[in-house]
Amino acid sequence: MARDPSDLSAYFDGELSRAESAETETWIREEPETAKEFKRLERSRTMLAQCIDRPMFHASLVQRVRVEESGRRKRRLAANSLLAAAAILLVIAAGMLALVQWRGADRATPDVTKSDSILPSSVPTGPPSSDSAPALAAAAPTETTTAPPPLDSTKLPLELMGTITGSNPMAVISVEEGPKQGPQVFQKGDAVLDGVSVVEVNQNQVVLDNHGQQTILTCAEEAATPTAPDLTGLWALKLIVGDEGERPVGEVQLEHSGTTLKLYDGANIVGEGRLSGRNVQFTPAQPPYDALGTVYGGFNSEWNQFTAPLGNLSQQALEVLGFGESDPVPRYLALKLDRVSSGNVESKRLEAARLQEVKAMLAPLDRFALSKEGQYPAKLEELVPDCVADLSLFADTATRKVQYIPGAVSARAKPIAMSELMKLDTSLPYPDALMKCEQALRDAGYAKFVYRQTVLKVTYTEPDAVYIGDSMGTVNPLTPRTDLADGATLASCQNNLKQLALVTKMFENENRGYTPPGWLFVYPEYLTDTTILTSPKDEPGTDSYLYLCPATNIKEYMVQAYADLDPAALAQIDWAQVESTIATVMNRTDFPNPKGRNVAFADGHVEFVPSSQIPPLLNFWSRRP
Amino acid sequence: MLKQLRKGDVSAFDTLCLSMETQLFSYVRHMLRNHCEAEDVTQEALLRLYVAAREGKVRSGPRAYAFSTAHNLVVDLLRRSRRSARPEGEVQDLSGPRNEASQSTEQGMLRDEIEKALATLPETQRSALMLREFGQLNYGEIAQTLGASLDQIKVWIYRARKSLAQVLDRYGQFIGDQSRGA
Repeated sequence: MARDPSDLSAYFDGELSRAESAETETWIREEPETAKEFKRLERSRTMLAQCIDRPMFHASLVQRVRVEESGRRKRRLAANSLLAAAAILLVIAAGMLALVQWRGADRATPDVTKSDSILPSSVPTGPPSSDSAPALAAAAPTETTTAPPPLDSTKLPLELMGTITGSNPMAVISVEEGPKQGPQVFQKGDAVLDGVSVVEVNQNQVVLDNHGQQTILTCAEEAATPTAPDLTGLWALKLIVGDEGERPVGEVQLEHSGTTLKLYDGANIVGEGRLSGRNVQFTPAQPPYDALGTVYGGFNSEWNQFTAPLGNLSQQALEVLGFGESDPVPRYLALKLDRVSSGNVESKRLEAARLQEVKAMLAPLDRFALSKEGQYPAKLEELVPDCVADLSLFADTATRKVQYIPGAVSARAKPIAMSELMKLDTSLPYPDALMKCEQALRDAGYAKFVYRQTVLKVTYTEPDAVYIGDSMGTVNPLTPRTDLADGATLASCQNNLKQLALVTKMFENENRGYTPPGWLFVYPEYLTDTTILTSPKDEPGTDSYLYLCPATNIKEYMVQAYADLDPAALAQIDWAQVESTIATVMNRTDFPNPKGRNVAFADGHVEFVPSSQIPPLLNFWSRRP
Repeated sequence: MLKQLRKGDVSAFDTLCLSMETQLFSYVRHMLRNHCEAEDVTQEALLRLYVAAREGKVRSGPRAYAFSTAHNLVVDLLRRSRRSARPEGEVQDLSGPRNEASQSTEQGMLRDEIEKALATLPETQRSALMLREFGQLNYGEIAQTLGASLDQIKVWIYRARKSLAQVLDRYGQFIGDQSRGA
């Protein structure tokens, strides 16, 4: 039987049927030449494994997708906003139409009465008020005997705000007392109050049935000019920016006086707005910002909140608030106008002023660090005169106490290009050599990377507040997060560790299995959100997690650690299981839970380890896993 | 995974990329024999996979989709470059940045030989073999990607492996001669 030699390669690809496979196996067994050919083909498969290359674009590609995804969400948000805007326009148009009809009817009433000659010319014209209605009713019987008897005005606690007539007439009636308090839309037959229902809806009047007796409810006379809403006092316009479902992350304050609104970002006025109808037109208060855009939106009936789509505040406005275009997270934006006490605004302004003060103290320290390869001065006196004229800025006063914490390393002054690291990596292929490299980096100060190390602590006495400035140049009010329950903190800390383990894994995947020498080497390519380096219970800026296995190839390390075993015993080892016992990152700070700490392991899993089991995990190099 | 991608889960895409980008890149690099172009094409293929998955257009497995997209991009690029008549003897940037180190070793020499052998294979055989080896695609998927019959694929893969086996034989002989000479 003729045999197809291509079956040999299809056989080890598993592409033959069971019968064909059996036949091929027999063929290989029976013919030595075929067996030889089969082995040659099989060897050629392993050759291709030599030609595997790792690309270097992973992080940038994922970042591109992240940006793309953000764009998608923004577009979707814009489309939704357009729909919402269209709906609002429709509602406004319907309202305008109703208003025009109502006013047109007001003007038309005299003509109609004259042309139809129903009423004598002496009958008063105009919208039927509670006074004119009986007159109208009294005049009508002179022409027709079937006219309804005159209706009394209702004494019920109701106010007719408007009517829409046509095929589906409706009335907006404000109920002033009772459980249904507030304006509502009613149609013919709807119950307004107990035993009170709508019988008929006419232009600017509604006939009600009140326990069998018909009364008339007429529209209150609208003022010639709409009165401005009562916005006396201080109001806060909260600009809420956040991902859908997330807590608000941004806030600006707005002060209202008359029709002028001032928009604050901390202590700075970033814009002034003027109430124009129901819109707020903002103009810039500072030269760098061209325009803050117009916030359009319908205040609700209580004039206490409105929302606006993201596009309605200009990009500059968002940048003022720290949400620039570079922010990859899609945001929604809502504006909420709330009445606040003046004390609240004052305290916020005070806090903002203090933040500015601490920032002003940090600036000369930063200048020093930038000029001295990242090192902050050992004593504040070293700042004079290059960075600051005198040290009065740092002096303690009656209301504040300044504490400088020397020896911090500025993270900003310690960037090392990933390409440089790659050079070191490729020239030193073995763990021990790489450890030498790491030592060299450590000697050069790179491995001593400290993230947001606290350099300045300013304590204010009245009212009590503590602000800390860190080596990244940011200032935070020191607010211990006591609001989190222990369980929530533990879970939040575990999430941080999981992300750090993932970051380590990603670095390993792209660097031939080597773990990063420190967090400096993963920022910002792999680690974008540096806040995960701080445990939720710690002060902002604390380097909370101990990194246990810098710059080694864990797999190679495991093989070396077991090198003394004979091959048979070596073959028995489950490497994945071993990997799951090697601790890579651990909570460094004294966790309030005395029972143990969260630990991330080399395989990426995180677990809470009891205190008794912590010591053997601490020294990565001292034990065989 | 596709469900997560459809929801716009970037971390799912991240994981997916990690699972296949190396093989995809290796495939494209050997087809194009140009490191930079290969990076571009691989990224483009992965991005297209993401967009298609987002719109629910990926019917087959994501791996097969990515490899067939990459193959089509490669074919387009090769066709364009042939039209623009790349001058004879132009140096192809086959070596990536990592190949600079330790290429003088025996392993490096073997790799050079394999790459040369792959380059001499007809395009169809090379594609079929690498879609199988790097992409782990089955013959049916390869046939669909290359627009050929199952039998043709079977023969192409066999012939490609046979050619590579010959290279290995020659290389083994060369190494043997070298060691004997020493």
